[in-house]
Amino acid sequence: MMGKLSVTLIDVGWGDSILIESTSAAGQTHYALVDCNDTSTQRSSFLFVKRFLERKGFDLTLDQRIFDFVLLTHGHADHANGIQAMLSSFKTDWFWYPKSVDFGGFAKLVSYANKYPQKVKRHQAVDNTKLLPDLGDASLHVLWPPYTASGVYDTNNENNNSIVLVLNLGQVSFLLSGDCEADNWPQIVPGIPSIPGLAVFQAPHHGAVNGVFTPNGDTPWLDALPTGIRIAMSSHIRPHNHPAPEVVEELSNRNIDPFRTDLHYHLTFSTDGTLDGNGLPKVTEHWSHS
Amino acid sequence: MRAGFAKDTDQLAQNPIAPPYLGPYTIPILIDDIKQLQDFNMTRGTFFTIDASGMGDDWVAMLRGQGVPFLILGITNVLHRPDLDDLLFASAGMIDRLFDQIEAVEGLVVESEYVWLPNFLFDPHMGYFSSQEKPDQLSRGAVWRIGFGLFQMALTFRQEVIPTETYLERCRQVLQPGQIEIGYSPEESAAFQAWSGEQYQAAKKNFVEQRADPERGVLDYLDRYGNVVTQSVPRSNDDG
Repeated sequence: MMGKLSVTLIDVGWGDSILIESTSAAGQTHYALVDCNDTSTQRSSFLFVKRFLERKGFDLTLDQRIFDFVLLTHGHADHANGIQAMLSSFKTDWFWYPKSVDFGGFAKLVSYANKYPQKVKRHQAVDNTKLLPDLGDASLHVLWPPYTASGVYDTNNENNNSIVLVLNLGQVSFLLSGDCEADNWPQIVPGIPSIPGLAVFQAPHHGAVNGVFTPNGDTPWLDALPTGIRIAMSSHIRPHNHPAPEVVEELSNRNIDPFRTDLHYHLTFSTDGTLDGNGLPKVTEHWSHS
Repeated sequence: MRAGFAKDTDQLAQNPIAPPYLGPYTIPILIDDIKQLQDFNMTRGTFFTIDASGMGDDWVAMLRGQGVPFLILGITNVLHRPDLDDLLFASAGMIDRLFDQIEAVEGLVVESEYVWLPNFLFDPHMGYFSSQEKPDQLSRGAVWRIGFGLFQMALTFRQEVIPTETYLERCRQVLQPGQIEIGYSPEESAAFQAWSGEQYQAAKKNFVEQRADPERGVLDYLDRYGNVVTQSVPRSNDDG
């Protein structure tokens, strides 16, 4: 049996919530979550994950740890709201986050991890020097933020502290980018050619202008991507028009038709880590609406 | 629900509480992100809620001064003051005590939520808040208090009941210059910052304990030369 890696961008209406499923060649399945943006009255992400796990045959009344890791890309509310409910209900082996400036909402999550080791076995800030454990047969690599002896990488713009994560299975890789703004990508893109079979790239910051264009109009990550790559985005027109029309136009000019949660709803990309007959990464896409 | 903080009925019977402060209610909002886009000029502010995932009993809500017993079933409550005696979160200890008190009850967790507020509300020239406050207090982590009416409107927008233009127009109509519906809260800004700092200090302490615990451990890392350094070797200045 081959291993399998699936990444689902859950359509939560605002922000990010990404479910990862990795089944090893030995048949063991591992789960992880990157970000969450539920509201107290609209638990879209929580219900998606709960139903997903129930369909997989989990008895959620049992005391068990579902997630290998929960990762908060950065300390903004549209990526963090609802994570505590996920930690509380499903439990995790690891909780990872970047170093961030003092802020109550993010501190509440750290506080929860400190106080409830039965829910969060261990937790730690990560940067691009940290070596993350495998998720089944898939390996994990942090491209951003860089380690800084002073602690927080950017104390003015939390987006720039976003963890950029690569998931690799065999000859195929997916990249998740949080809200890492375009300004940072000239430092990240030199590493892109060494990523094996980069096949899915999450556009940073939901397709916002500052996620794609630097202030002088450069498009560093777009210029660095291999031909034929799938670009996905957790996009939401409300409340502030993501993806931006300029971004949509730029992608269109490059003949890229992105996968968008505001158009496709829940988006799943899967791979067995192999190449197809043309030597390209073998990836299937599935979405719940078009 | 115009309610004070709930107490269990036994405690209430033994220690009758004074009529709660009935307003005007204001809600503390922590500045999270400030958007200054061509077509979207709003500030995202978070607030804390109690979320009840299960069913609890023996609670009482104060509704317009009257105690009403109720069972909890998936209710969400907005936290707006630390207890019945204090109007503001004046210290880190008050925040911690309230959160611990809530989460000590099975099925209750403190969560955060957010609303968007038009940036013009924070303009001192508009006179929505008192004149001694300065716009540089609109920074990440700063605490502002907003009136109940404005908060309700912001929630309506957050829940997509009204479109952006309607929300902006209602904000302009309801908030007349000189009417204080929004104000910077320096005491609570300091308290939440201190509380956040305490949580990060606790995380650093946890990191050291985690590293020493063979059942948990911490991540290995690459040093500046690309060598793998195992978790047993602390990095200078690396607090996790």
